[in-house]
Amino acid sequence: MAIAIIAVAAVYAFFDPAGSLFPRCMFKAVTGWDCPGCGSQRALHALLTGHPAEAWHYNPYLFIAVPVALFFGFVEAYQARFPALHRALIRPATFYILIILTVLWTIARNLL
Amino acid sequence: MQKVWIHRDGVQQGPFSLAELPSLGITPDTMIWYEGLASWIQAGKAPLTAAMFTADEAGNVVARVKVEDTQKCPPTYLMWSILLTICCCNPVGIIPIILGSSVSSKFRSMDFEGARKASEQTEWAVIITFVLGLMMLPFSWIIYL
Repeated sequence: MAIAIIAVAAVYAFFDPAGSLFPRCMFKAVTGWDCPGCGSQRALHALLTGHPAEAWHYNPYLFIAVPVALFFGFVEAYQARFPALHRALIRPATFYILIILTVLWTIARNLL
Repeated sequence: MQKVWIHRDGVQQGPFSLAELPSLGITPDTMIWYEGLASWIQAGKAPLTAAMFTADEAGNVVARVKVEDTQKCPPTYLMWSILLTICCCNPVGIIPIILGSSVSSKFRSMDFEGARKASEQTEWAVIITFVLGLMMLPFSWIIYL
C-alpha cells in the first residue's frame, strides 16, 4: 500500500498529467462540463512540484474532500472508541449535506 | 422512544428501549407490555416485537436481531464514496453516498437487519463504481487520440 502510494506520487511528481497518456475524465469528454474531480491530477502534479497555490487553483475541492473523507473513515473505523463522535456525525443529514455540496460545487465551477 | 416493560420469573423489569430487548435474552414467550397495549402479551405476538423473532432451520424460534447488530452501526463506506467523487466516477460517485445514508437512517430507526443489508449494498456500489471508473480508462485514451 505504502509502495503504491509512493509510486503514484512519483509518477505525478515527474510527469505532467496534461500529457496524453494520463486518464481523462469521461464525464467531461461526454458532456463538456468539469466534474467535481476534474483538475485533481494537475493539482497533484502542482502540489508535488512545489506549487500549492497553482494546485488550489486547479481543484480546491480536492483539498477539502480528501481530509473530510479521511476524517469520516477515521470516525467509522473507531466507532467503538468514540461512540459519541460517530453518533453525532454518521447521520443521514451528513450524507445529504455532502451530496448537496458536491452538486453545488459541480454547478458553480461550470458556471463561474 | 417506545418504552417496554418485561415480566419474567415473577419479576417486572423495565423500562427498556426496543434496541435493548435483544440483549436481554427475551423469548417469544416472555410477557411484555408497552403503552398502547391493553394488557401483558407474549413478545412473539406483540406488534412491535413480533418481528424480532424468526425460526431457524431446525424450527426453533430464535431472536432475529443479533445483540452486536444493535450496538454497532454497519459501515457506510463514506470515506470511499467521497474519494470516488474525486476520481471522475461522477455522477455515478453520488450513488454510494445516497446508499450510505440509508444505512445510517435504518440503523437509527432500529431496522438493524435493513441497515446491515444496506451496508452490503453500499459496499457493492463502491466496488462497482470503482471498477466502472477503471474500465473507462482505455476509452479516455481512445477519445483523445
